[in-house]
Amino acid sequence: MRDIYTLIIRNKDHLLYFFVFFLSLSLLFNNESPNILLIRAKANDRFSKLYSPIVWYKNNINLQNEINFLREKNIQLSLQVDDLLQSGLQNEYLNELLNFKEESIYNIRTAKVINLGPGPIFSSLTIDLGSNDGIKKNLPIITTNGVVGKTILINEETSLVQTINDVNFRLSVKILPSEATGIMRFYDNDVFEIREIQKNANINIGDIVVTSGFSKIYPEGLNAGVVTEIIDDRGSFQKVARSKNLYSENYNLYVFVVQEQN
Amino acid sequence: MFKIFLFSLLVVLFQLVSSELLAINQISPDFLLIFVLYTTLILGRFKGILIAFTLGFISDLSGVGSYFGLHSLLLSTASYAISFLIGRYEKMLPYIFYSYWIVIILIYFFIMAYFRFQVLFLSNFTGYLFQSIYLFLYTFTFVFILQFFYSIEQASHAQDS
Repeated sequence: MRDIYTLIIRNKDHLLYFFVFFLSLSLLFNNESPNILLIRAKANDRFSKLYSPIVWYKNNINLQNEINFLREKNIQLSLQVDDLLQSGLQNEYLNELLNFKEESIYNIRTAKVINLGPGPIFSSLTIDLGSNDGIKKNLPIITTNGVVGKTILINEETSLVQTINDVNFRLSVKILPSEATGIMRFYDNDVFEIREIQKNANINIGDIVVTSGFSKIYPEGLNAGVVTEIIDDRGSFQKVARSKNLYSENYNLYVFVVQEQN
Repeated sequence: MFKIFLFSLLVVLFQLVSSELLAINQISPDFLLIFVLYTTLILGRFKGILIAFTLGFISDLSGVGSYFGLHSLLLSTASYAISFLIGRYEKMLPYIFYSYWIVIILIYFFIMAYFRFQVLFLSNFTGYLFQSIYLFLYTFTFVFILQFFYSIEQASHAQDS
């Protein structure tokens, strides 16, 4: 017994390493366990309080950039408004002719980004809305540039968002104007790969990628990028397209949560 | 130990702030790894692994999409690997000594990049290598700067003194 004790004491470093190694592995393999999710959600809420001075500082720093960005966006939008007003009148007239019901869009809430996670590669962000604000799991998160991610962990005051550059994120998309559908996933930096596209689909560089609406999470038509490359291997039964998504360009401060479709 | 714990929390906070400010192309330097590297050499293997795991766990808790536990696994493994350098500077050839910890950091980022850029790894291995090396170089730049103030060699002697 004494020998075993001495052996343990002598090799405590190695034993500790093996213990933490297997503990980390068990955490990795139990990512979806309800207990782990609960701990993560609680911790995320606590951390958000810790971040509050950082968020305040970050907001002050980024505010000027945000104002400039909004000014540019405002000018762009005001130019588009004229066109839309005319199109709207025309649309109204045509709707009347066809007896279409008026379709409203989505109930969108603005959320402040608290942090982007501490890792060397970003794959999540935390927002300041939680279950108290009616946020649920699997709600789409968007910016003016399109889809950013979805909520995965909800606590009372905060929510953790899995961003689309997370390795396990998949998005059902369609490429316009051909309406070819595929599954989008992260590739590198701001480049995404769209797989499962039919071989005979007529897609071109510059085509717009939007959500297909097949998923229960994302409504149809949310911007998801622009096609930049098409890979059409002879041996493959499907086409692969690469798209560029500007999701990360302005989610430093605020994002939008699509709460429900009316 | 309490002081070390407090200091570790400060490092986590610093990582949280700096990761956004210093991020280029969604990639930021890993100050936690640098901290673990030094604390293991200064405080020894046992405390080093303990700190590495705790920091990794806190980092995972404070926001990660997938692979919860990856950071704690990688940091504790890096700490364990680096601990073999404690008090070894005189016993090893200098270039082996330096290569050893540089390779540990490199492997750390290769594994980290493998988990984060799996599609790239499968379809464009060269791209994956570049991404890993870029990750490595960004953090290594800070390690390199630190060498002028407190080198790894000095840290590996810390337990002897």
